[in-house]
Amino acid sequence: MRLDLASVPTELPVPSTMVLRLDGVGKRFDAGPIFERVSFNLRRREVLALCGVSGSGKTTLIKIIAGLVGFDEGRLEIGETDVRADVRYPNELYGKIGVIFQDHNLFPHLTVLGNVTLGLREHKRLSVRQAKERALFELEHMGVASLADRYPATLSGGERQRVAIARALAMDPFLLLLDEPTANLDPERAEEVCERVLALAESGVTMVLVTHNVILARQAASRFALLQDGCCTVSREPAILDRLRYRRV
Amino acid sequence: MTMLIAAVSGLGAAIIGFLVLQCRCSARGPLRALGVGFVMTFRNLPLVPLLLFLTFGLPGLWTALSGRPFPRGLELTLVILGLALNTAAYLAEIMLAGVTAVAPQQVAAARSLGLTPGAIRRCVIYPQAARIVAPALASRFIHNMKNSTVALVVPLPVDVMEVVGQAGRIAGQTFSWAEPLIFAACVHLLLAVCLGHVLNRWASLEQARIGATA
Repeated sequence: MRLDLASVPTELPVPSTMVLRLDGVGKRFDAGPIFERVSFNLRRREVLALCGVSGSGKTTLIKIIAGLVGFDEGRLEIGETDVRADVRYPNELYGKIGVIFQDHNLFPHLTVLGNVTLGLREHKRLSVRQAKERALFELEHMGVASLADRYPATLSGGERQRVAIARALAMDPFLLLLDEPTANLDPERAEEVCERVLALAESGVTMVLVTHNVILARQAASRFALLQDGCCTVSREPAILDRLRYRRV
Repeated sequence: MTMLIAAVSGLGAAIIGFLVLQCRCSARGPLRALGVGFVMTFRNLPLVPLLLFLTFGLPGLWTALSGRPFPRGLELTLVILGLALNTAAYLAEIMLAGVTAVAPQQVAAARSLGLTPGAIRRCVIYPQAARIVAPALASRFIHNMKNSTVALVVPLPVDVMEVVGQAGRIAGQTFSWAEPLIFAACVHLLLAVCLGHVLNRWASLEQARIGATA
């Protein structure tokens, strides 16, 4: 199928300069607080690398920002929407925040193309043809257009992760959340995904990147956050990542 | 007639079971209680008393309460309804098991794409749940077909009698029980094997199509 690239939007719509603002956000589980008073801002085209040891709450924080998990204290501003603790996200906000999950979470019963077009048809209400064009554009961009008719179970880890990135980008999100995109990948597949993430960062996509890969964080991010012992420290200096303490077991 | 009873009651059971599933998954307490109550009632009620109540008790109640005679010729419909209610209780539980087996991360992924709760159920949860519980559903539909023999307890007209009932009728006329019953058993066996094969084949083809291991 030929792609009409002229009809495909390439600029990500951004609501304002300030994309994300966390003010004293805290979350606790039954066992106790997982983190408290997390505060940072993210402006348009900024990339924030969020690092921390396993269990420090990075994924929980990403899920809170994505509106998939509630929070217990503080305040969160996404674009122009102000969300307070214990208040559900307005429905229209979903779909505008792209999430790339650690284990990609592709829908196994849908083809690669079906995975990417689902949100376009159901949320953006595009026609089948428009959704297909948009999806193929993003798949092409991620270098996986040739896999459009394959099912997720038949793809390698790196291919699945690239499809997941294409699926999120196809929705034109103003904020992209990546949760350890290179986890569970061998070094070669991880390298492929790192290249795509770096390309996204260079193209000006606003991102929060959760990663254990300090090299990727240093290359992709303009700001760095360290989530450790329930506190979040944010800096423009990558040297902050040197404070990362892995527990000995 | 066995095939007709099995097909119509199976279809009815699938529709009723799906509605009960909606109740059980509802956020509203009374609807959930209604779903649980349906399953508790029709899963624990033996089929024979249920069919006897529907075909003998219900017409009696109708006449006593309304003072009018119960419409004639509804025996087959009531038998099918009884079978459908009984099977629906089991199907609802199987469907619920399928829905809860879909990974919550799938729902999170669909939510992050902006799908509404209805679209998530329609596009993500139900298609995956159907594949997960296909073998169990196939077994239940076969069981429903075999249950159609219980209609024997209801005096159905000859032209709508299922195969075991027909076998009994012929045996009563010829005083020979073996041949008609062996024939009825063969018919049931053939239908059950064919139905099981078709449903399991569909499930394995689906698994192969999406590249998942069976």
